[in-house]
Amino acid sequence: MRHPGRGLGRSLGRGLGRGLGPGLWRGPGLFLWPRGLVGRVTLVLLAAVLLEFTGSTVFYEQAETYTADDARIAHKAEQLATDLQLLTATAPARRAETARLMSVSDLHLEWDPASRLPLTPPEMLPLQARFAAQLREFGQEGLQLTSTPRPGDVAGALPLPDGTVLRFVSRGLMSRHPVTRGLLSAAVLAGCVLLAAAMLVRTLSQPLRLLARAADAIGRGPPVPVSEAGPREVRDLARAMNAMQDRIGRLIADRTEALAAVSHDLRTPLSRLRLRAGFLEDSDIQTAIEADVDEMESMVVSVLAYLAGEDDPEPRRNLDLAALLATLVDDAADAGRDARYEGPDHASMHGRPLALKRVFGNLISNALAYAGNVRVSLREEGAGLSVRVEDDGPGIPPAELDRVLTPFYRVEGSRSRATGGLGLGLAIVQREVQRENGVLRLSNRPEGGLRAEIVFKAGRPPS
Amino acid sequence: MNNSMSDENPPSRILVVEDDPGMRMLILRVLQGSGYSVRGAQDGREMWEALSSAPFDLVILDVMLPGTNGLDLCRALRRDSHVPVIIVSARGEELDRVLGLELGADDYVPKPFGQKELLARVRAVLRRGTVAPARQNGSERRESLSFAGWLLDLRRRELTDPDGAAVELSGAEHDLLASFLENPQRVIGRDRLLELSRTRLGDVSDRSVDVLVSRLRRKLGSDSENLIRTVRGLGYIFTADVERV
Repeated sequence: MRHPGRGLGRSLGRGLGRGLGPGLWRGPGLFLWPRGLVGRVTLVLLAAVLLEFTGSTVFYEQAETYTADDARIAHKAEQLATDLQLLTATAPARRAETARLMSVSDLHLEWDPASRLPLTPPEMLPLQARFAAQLREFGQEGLQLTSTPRPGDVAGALPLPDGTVLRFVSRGLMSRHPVTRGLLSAAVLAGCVLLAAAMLVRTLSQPLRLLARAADAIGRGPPVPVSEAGPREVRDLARAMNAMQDRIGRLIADRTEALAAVSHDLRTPLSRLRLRAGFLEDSDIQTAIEADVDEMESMVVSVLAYLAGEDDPEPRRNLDLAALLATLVDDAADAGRDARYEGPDHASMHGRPLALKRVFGNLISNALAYAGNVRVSLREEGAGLSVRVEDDGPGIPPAELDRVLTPFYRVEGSRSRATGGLGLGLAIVQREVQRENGVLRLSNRPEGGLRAEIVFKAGRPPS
Repeated sequence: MNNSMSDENPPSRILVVEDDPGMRMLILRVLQGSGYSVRGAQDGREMWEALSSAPFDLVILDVMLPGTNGLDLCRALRRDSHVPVIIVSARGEELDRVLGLELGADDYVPKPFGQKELLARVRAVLRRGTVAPARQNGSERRESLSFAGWLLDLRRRELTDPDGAAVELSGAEHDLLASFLENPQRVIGRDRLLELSRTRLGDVSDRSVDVLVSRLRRKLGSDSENLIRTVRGLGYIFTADVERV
């Protein structure tokens, strides 16, 4: 028990945040800071009430001190002056007795030949000045005030002409005064309390806002560990979200593995089919089967390429993007397709060669499939590189330009049926380009046909 | 019926290690149809049995085998044998390809392959295998060739320019460059070049060799006209010094 507040904090936290375990008080600091949201909100409310209470006490006391009624002071002054004159006329031997007799319920008088005139404490000087001014009206000087145990009373002493002293206590002179200095101070106080409470509640909701931001990031990339901090309820939620991410991750991994296994396993029967087709006498059927196998193989390849995405271990290195593009275009041209490359013979870039080959291979085969021709052009732009893959085909309806980048999405219409595929090509392109810190823009050319432009802003290696 | 069988040599003997019965039968049938003498094995144990009973000129090895996998078998095979190996895999991953070639395989054929591709690879490896008794001198075979600051990694089939950047080559371009590098400072005729390069083009002609050479020159940069010089009416000559690394 090195902290006196520990016991209180414990019972507060217990009471407000139902069912707190004993192990939840391990925190090194803030023993009074409850673990639960209910406890914290209550503590904030408590703080606000306390602030309001303290503030109003200060304000009201100040107000009372200064608004003592002038009329009542004048009345008391007159009374005192009369009593003093009477006492002065009385023989000293009978003065004490007379003073006692003159005392009334709200003005107690006392004469003692031995007592001396006291000195007014500094905080009572303003009242003393006002009181003395009233007494002066009645020809009395030398008033001194003393403090009293009861807040409403005013005590003091007045000198008699012979140097002896009359002490008095005026009860209720400063009695409770309901009127404060005005609504303004009350409003200022309320405002301050409100502000303080709002700031406290804001700190309370901070973990919730962080949680919302983390939740928003989930599913857009690698798993986002949500920090398990804040009030108990928020921590529970964060923990649940992390567990959920784990489960989803495992689920996806399992499915991915299954899909990858199926894709791998398909290659052996496809190979058998291709080998068998070679034995066929009918060359038309042979060609048709070859084409089918080609299509199935490209599906398997695209699924595996898509699944391999996130944990592709291929390292980055310097490469010649121009040679890469020229090779892809030459391969297409050798296969009898209308493919052209325009641009420099060499263009250095830092990136992953296989991933880039996949990107441009997909764009080129898309163009050839949908338009029957492709034109690849490369330009060096400052420290960056820009590649355009264009065709003279029908393009993509403007409304679909964004959607074609989503996995397994295919533009509806005759095109997709004629060309097959799983709708993964552009999704792979988009992802790999992003991983190479590039930007992919799809647009329909004004002259007709699709343009895929990829810009690698700082693609070139530092020389 | 094909060039590798045109002479009077006895047919090359090929061992096919493949666990899928249908696949094994088909490969054997394709190879037999081309005049090779073949034998099948369904796993590592049968492979070792076959190798101890008779010599083979080539082993075709599947990666996914029950028990010891193809890559491990390839490594074990390389320890005491120089028999050429072609690895066949359904995984088709770049890593398998590189690993297989680094473990000493002579070629890597991803499934699904067809008859033409299989036969072309078999022929090419057998041809290289027969020219390689010199290999016996050093247990390590040539892996990279360097010339004028460039580097051609024959295992990974990777060309690196003097600045260290990877320069993409098509299969045919790679084979053409390798042919030049293996015969430096010698005039090579178009026909010979065609024969040396494993042809991956559908239609092969003198013209396509010229096209390949011009593509290669473009990739080799500004000095490439000098590097691969045209010898009018004869063919080409590769002028730079080539070093084995």
